[in-house]
Amino acid sequence: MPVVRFGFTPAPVHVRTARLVAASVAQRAPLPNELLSEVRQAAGEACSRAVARHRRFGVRELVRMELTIGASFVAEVADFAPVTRNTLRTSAVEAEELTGKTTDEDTLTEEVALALLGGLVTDLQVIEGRDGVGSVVRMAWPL
Amino acid sequence: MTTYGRVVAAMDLILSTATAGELTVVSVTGEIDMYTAPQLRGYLTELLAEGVTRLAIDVNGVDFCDSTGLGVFIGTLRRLREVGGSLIIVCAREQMLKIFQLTGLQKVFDIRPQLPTDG
Repeated sequence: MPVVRFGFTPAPVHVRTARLVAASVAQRAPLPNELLSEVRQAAGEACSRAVARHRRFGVRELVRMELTIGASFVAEVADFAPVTRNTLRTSAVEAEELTGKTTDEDTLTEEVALALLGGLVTDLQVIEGRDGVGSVVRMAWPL
Repeated sequence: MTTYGRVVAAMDLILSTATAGELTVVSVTGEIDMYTAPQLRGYLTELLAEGVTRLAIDVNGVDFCDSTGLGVFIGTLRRLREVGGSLIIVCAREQMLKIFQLTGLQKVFDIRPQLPTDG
């Protein structure tokens, strides 16, 4: 199965590159054109979430993205920040709650990213990382 | 509409300010993501600090917006609500409307396809 791996320093400027890589590989898969913008947005959200988590916990390790072309196109984005039970979920808080709560910028980004991912990707999982370190956002689109 | 404010163009984001009646209108062009969102946040924070309470953000020139961009809009709405102000999002682009709908934020924001004519 063709696999593309991409790692980047957890800095906002590289998220743009990551989402372009994801969309480019999805195009090669090939996913239909109408899904490419969803892949681009979803990969960007997963990477933004990972960068925000690394920033919040002061983790300097690379954020990892792995794209696999098999029966489905699968995009996995791994972070290496500490995980709580609250981290491993695919549904965000209600929109009204987001506007009422006083949350810091990175927490807000994480919540809104999760809300967008939940809306964009039907086959979405947020699971614990390998060896129990960090979390992985796994997104799949059937080919 | 008259342009009175500064025009800032950097990092793939162009921001400009104008007035329409009592409304202050910020037009955004480019991509709003984790990299450019701090620039937008800083720009809006400065306007609010200057006393703007009736704000419209025109996103019809935005090619891409992610959760950090939505986070900036949420933060701006919160601060305006604290001072009894209001925020209108001017948006007719399908791609942008979709992300408001997917997050449920279309229920929270006053989204209009064009600027209100009554200012």
